[in-house]
Amino acid sequence: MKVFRHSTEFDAPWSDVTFAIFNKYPNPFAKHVLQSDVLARSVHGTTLTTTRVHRKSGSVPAWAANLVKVNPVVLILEDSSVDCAARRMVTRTRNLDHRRMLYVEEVQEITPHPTNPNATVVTTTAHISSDLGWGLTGRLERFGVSRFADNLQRSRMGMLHVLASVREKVKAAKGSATGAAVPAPSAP
Amino acid sequence: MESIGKNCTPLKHEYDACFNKWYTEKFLKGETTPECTELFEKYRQCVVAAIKEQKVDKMLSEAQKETKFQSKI
Repeated sequence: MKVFRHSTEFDAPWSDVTFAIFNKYPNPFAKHVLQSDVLARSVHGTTLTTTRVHRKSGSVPAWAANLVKVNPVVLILEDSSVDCAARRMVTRTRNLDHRRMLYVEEVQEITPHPTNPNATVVTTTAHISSDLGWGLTGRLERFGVSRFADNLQRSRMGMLHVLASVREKVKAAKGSATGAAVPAPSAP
Repeated sequence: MESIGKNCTPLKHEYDACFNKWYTEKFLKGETTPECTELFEKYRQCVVAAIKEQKVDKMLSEAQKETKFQSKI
């Protein structure tokens, strides 16, 4: 099993980032995400809990797909909690298909920046494991880590795209007078 | 974004719009009483039927119980 950690910041308030996560798909940087649904949602105290499922295309390397029969589309399950009082969001995402070949579980913690109220910190921890054997475990896990790192960049681009459209909507709702107060998205 | 059940997509969009409004105007401001519950129930029933039809219902319900790496939410 390999563990991958990463931390990034967005120039947007925490509430906007959490909203963007719920509205992340579709975006032009996630064309592999085909369908998405909310399976369950409830509120306990100040915490909103949500379970979503996403259907994505292609997720294993071609050389591995040739060894084991895999589905061309896979399901991804995402649990999340948002505590509006503590201002903390956590998401846990994992694949449901071909887990013996490659299992990736990603946990993201989304919290306000400690000193800048207009910024948000997103910390990602991923566990990547393969049980396939045949001497391929290490190779598959390395593939998983490198693809995960590549996807983080694309995921960030997607978030910036969604955040920009959230801002546009807020601006439109408030009228152009307050538009200047909204910071522009930073380059990734 | 489409729903897993193609015919559920209009219900999903209707629910998502209601949720987004509640989330930004109420929940994030500390008013946590749930809304949109009737819309969600209609949408959810449609999705439940679709995942049964696509035979992924068991896979999904099993996965919702697990905590493989004990990640805490």
